[in-house]
Amino acid sequence: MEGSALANAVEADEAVLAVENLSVDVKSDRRTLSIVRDVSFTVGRGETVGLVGESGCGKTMTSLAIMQLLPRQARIAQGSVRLGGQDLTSLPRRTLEDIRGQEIAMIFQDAMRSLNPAFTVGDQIGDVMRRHKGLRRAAARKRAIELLDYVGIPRAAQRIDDYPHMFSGGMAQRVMIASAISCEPKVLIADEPTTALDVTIQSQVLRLLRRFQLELGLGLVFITHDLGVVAEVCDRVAVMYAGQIVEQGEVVELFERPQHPYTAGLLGLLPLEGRKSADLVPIPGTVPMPSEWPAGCRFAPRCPHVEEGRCAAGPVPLEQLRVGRTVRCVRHEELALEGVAR
Amino acid sequence: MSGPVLEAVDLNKTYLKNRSWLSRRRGGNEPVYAVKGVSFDLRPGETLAVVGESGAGKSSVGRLVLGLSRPDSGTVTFDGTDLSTVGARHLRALRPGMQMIFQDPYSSLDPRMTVGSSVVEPLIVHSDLSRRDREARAVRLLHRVGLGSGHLEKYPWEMSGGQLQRAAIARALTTDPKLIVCDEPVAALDLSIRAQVLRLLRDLQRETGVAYLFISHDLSLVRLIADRVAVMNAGEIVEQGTVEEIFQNPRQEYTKTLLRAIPSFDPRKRHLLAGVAPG
Repeated sequence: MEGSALANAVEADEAVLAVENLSVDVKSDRRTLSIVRDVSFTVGRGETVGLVGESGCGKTMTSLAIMQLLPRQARIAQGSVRLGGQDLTSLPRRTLEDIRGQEIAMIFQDAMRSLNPAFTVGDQIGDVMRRHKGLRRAAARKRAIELLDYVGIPRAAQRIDDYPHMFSGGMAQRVMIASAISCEPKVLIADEPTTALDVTIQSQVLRLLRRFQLELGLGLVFITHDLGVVAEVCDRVAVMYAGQIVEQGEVVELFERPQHPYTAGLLGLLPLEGRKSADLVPIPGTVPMPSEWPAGCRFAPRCPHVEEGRCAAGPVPLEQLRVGRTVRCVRHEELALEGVAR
Repeated sequence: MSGPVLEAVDLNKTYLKNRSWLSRRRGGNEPVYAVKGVSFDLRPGETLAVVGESGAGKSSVGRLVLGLSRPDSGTVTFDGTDLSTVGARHLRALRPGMQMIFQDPYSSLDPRMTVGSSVVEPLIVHSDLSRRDREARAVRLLHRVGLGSGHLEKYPWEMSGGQLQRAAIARALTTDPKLIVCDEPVAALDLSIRAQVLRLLRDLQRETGVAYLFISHDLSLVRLIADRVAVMNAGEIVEQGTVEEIFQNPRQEYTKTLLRAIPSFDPRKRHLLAGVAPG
């Protein structure tokens, strides 16, 4: 991408968002499970960072932990989330409420269920601005119409009084985006924002997000399982597996030269032009439940490159190859993994 | 070359916009076409993908060819029999030959039944095998789809989405069908599991010669598995051809729009965000 797409990771002090060693515990049946472990990444101004993984890898829990919106059974065990000089993990609820929506906002996969069905979309978007910007009702309404128009909803002045169920999935997603950007946040976390949409609508929503990003210098965290979307929109990527980041890097570099067998495995499954189902090499097995995560490399039981004794020996550290390029594999130096061929 | 296992000719299906009796009395309730003038055929061992956006009528076509709903006009011929001319009893006799796999395996298997019972059930209805033979066949099929006999006694909630979809495939296979309508069968599955299931469907087709009507909104997936593609928009097939024709040489503007919206899956060949500028 043109613009912000510099390959280098942003130093933590110039990042708009810096997540460091974030770990999340969940209580279940008297046991405590660590479901997110030592997650670190940064997002620069105007940059898009993808958090990628299959279901159960901890990407949504990571995003909720960043927002300080974890469900009751879950808690942040360690780590920090720095947003513009403040550590969100140490702030009182009141301050957090000032920051969420204003400095950092989030959009979800199911827009229809994320909007309140009992209020008009105008009220919901207006509320955010009245709460954070102190706008009066009339001014908030006027601004809400502008926002709906801006996100491409036809006849915004009329539609502002409609309820969420009167919108299609793609239009509801636009409403949620309008609400999320209404206070011009520095960081937007988008959790599978286009997964439920048709491809044509998906590309419209992605273009819309990109436009805001260029205008507002928004730092975007893009959470998805869809590597096609990652390839299209992300500057950098962190691949998660079983609660850990297993590999991180600039998107072209990561697709060309994956260092972790899990990343390489996923890339081998992409429906690239010219590939047929016979060309796909399935990754055997399934993502294990958190209670069954191995003590050593968590991908080892499914890994085609596993080496007896070495991979299961103990927890594998995330090794930094250079700034912004990390991998969690004891064999990464000796493996020549295949990426997406040119 | 054998004749088609399935032939649809000029299928039309309309629904009334408002189904309450009051609006019907008031009149002005115009029919909406869910399926309009749809024709295609499908040969043994072949995969025809029906693609389109939500609301295009893909699933309605699936229901029509299985005889789950009746067309207003047009004919569905399955294995030489015109479904519109046969009675309920005859239709039931044809059922074993046609099966369906749905998107959501959690809701397509009975939560109160063990997976083994769900796989055996079609045989109770459609065969006169003894109980022991039925169970032996269920075990064999579960093995074939990659599930151990340990899964026989499990309930759907004890299994993952990928395992359940395998069980649903095993269930569809019990009666040796000639046609399986697959309605978004891997849309709910993770990438690593998706490939396993696609591979399984392909292998089973090679072994049994079953034909797939593969309903999907995901064109990149269709490119992987289909022999031919029918593109639907607003109830009509706007373009039909081999997978190469559709992807390399689309003729209709609508098909081109759909193809342009597919991500490249390669960051060096990005195109979706091309030309986006601050407003």
